[in-house]
Amino acid sequence: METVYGQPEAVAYLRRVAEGTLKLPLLLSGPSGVGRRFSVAETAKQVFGVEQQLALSGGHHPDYRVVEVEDDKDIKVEAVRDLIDETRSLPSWAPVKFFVIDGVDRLTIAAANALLKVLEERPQKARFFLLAEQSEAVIPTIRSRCAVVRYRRLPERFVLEKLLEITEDEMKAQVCARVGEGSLGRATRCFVAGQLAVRDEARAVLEHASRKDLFAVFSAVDEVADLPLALTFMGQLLHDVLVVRVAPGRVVHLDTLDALGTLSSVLTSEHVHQLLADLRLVRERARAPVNLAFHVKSALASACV
Amino acid sequence: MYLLERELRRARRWPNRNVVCLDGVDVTEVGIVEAMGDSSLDDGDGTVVVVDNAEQVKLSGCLAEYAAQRDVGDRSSVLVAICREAQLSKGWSSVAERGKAIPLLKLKPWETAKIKARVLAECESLGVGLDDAAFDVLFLLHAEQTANILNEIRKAVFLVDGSTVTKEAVLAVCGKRHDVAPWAVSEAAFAKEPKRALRALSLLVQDRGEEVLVPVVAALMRQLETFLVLRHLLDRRASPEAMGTALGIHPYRVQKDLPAVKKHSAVQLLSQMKKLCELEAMVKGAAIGKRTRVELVVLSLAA
Repeated sequence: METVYGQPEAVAYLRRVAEGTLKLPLLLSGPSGVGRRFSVAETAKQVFGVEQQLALSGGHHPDYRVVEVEDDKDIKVEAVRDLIDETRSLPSWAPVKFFVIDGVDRLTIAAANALLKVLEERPQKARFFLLAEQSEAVIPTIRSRCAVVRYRRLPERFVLEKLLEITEDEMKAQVCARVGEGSLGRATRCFVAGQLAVRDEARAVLEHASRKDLFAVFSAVDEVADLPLALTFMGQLLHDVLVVRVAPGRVVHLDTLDALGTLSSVLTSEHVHQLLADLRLVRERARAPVNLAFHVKSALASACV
Repeated sequence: MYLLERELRRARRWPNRNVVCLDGVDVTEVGIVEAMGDSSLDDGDGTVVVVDNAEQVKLSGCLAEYAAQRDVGDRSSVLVAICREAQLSKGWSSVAERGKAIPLLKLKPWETAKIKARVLAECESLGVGLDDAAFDVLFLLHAEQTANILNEIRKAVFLVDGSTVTKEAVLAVCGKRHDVAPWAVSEAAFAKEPKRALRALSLLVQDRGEEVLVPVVAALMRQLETFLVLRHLLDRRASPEAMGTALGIHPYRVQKDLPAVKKHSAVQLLSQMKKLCELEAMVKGAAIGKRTRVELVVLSLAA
């Protein structure tokens, strides 16, 4: 448990699970990438014993079962039924079975009802760990049967240290750490998947908008490789435009200070706030299968016309 | 007509093939050029534009010019013109020649008299008569399919007082078919022709149900985006050629769109863009009132 960093409340709960004094299902809520699954795996190592650690690390331990969101689709009832079938049998190697559902806020209604039934009549040798980004998004009937454990965002210093273990580019690591907003997973993804290239595309779109070049804005939006991600970056960059005037050291995208300065000299605060509000609306509408490019263009066109 | 309808129904089932049917009575030469050049209609393997009663279209040479400019190997859009005349007019000959059209199908006329005699004989066995106008309508709809013709007559019998089936009775029992494409709504709306826009929308919904509202909204969005960019470039005094290059469309189409673009200001288009965003989210997310919402936006565009 010493390896779980910055989550004292969660560690206290998980220690009790490891000691066998807490058998309730745990609802682990918090942003992704702050160590929720990692801490459950660490607990399993402690409960299962040293000789089983290799199988656990390899992800093929017979008594450690994970159900998760795949391809950003909700978890269906079939997946939950498979899990329920497994709860009926005794553990084959470890003293208890661990069942992890990563994305309990993404269960379909049928899946949630199926899970509820097994949570009400828990088998003696089963331990449930339900992971959600926000506990409020989990249906109340499931939430009320769990002990809710909140995970905090990790300190930026810690995330930066971890990133510097894989790179020597301190500036890039610093930017990725800030993009991660306290999530080591998100920061690592930003660094490894080269998401800063999408950030540069988003910045180019905003620069065209600041020059009121509508045609260039539309063309640039059409060329963005990952529009939902670019939308997030646009929001961050606009926040930076507001911050760079008063506290340049606190901007997220430190490596683009010059560009942010130029944007801040062209765009007024009212413009930036309006754009932020419009982009927030686009993000809300993007939950339905809308033409995202058109919506982004619509939000940016206001700055050009 | 019957055979054409049947072939078009088959053509619509081709995967990724978009079939646009136009009637020469309603469509202009410019409309045909636009349908040919509108890549937004193309879902994959290209567009087939069918113009029935093509001899009715007044040709001034634009279509021939357009056909001449296209690459011979370009099959992204194909024009099928149905000329109901014994001989091709000068205009269409020129289009065929300059566009290097391949087969000129000459279809044999139907042996109407034989079919009519067969139908009348069947009518006698049903104990009813059939007037000439009613037969013409039935023949237009079903051609040599006498079984279908007789089915329509059986239904029409209930609507006539005497023993002769009339044209009015036949029309009342036969379902009408309309071929309108979603872009017809957006074209009329942006040309500020509210009646035509609403009529096209009404025909579409009648023909294909409320599911058609999604492609209608998509067509409105595409058209609006094009118009907004054209308006922006127009305000910057760009030439039609430059606009065409920027948008990747033929300068002729830019020229054709510009009068309609000039009817809208950039601010108006921007406000409509926001409305369309709202509309799209609603059409794809909400359960009720979709048609009314689409009608309201179409009207606000056209008004």
